[in-house]
Amino acid sequence: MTIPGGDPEALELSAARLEVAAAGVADLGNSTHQVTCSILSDADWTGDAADAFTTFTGNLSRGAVAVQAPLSRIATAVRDYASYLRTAQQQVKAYQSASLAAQLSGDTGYLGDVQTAGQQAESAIAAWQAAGDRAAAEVGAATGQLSDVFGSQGPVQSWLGRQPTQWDAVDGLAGLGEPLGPQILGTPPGDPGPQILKTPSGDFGPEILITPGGDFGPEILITPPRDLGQELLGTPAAPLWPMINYSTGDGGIKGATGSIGKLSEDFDYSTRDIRTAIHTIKRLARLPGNPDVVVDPSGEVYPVGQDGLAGDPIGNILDVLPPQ
Amino acid sequence: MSQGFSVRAGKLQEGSREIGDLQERCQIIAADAVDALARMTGSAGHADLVSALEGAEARGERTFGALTMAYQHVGVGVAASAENYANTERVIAGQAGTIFGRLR
Repeated sequence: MTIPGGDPEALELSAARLEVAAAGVADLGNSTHQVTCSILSDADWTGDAADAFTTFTGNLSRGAVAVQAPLSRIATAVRDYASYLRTAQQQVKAYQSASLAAQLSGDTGYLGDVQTAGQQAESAIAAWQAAGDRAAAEVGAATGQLSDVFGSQGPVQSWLGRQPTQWDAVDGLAGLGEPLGPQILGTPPGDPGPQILKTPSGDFGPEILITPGGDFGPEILITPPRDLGQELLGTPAAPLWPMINYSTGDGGIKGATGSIGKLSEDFDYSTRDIRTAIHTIKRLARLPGNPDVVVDPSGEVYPVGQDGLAGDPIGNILDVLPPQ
Repeated sequence: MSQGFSVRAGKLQEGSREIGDLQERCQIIAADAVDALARMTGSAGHADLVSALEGAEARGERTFGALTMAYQHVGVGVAASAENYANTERVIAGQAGTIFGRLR
């Protein structure tokens, strides 16, 4: 009888961290609602663009809040599983100790204790297996919930569906600060004449509303300012895609992987550190097209081509990971 | 259908920075959540659970990536709108200056 693998303490710690993250993302969603309401009211922003903003950010807020439940569900399932794992490990250890003691002593009087310990260990292992199955089902169901936090018909999901590439990175987004994709939040329409009539702000507003004499008034009303809208409504210069894509294969390199979780385990760094390191390597390499990457056991990073095969190494994550 | 140029562009610009702060928070939470899921995967010791957690990690990464992108999109959109409104105000101000100059 072997001791079940796994680390219940690490699982409980991770579950606690996931609970914190779950609470954090719910709070983020609520904050998003508050911030967007404040923006609308403070800026006195109304009209089509403001309406689009309200709709989009409302969906975004609810989406963020909706992430909490599946994360909490996973945390609860894993915490529950960890207790069964711990019990199973303890019971098997107890059985092994009893067996060893019986062997060393040669006293047949211990056999009853060994048998009892063995039965308890078998029960604990069966309970652990069942708990693992239950937890796997729970995690699977929660993963399904995570897939649809924005709602399939929501504006956020629709917008994501129009993005040119897969969106799977949690850190680093290309072109930060540049216009990205069609601005569904909208900009003032191309013909701002009527808006000018509405309520111009600043010191010049009242004068314009007076409609000055001569030919100049109409000119203001019908001539849209030349710089409005076009740049922002046009196709962006930079595509919106993640800075890091991870390959699902090994790219033909023995032992290589694109799994951040596995790399985190292999190199004993957090997934955040691993991501940052790969991000840095990719940025330094200035590779066109943001290819997928795999990392071999020595830390060498390889871009993976469309054919699924790794190219020449572009750097080593051990050179950029922080000292431990 | 109209949009008022009573809009305070400066407030919109401030708002875009607040959205940026939310995006940063989202990225920090995302990294923590995905890291926690990855560590669970490495500590589970049960084949089916490991497989399920790997799926959760991948899905979590995608979901948080989508959230982050959406925040970025909102921030950029609000900043762009703020700039647009500010440009409009400047153009109006310029036109008004011309008018009043000619009217003198």
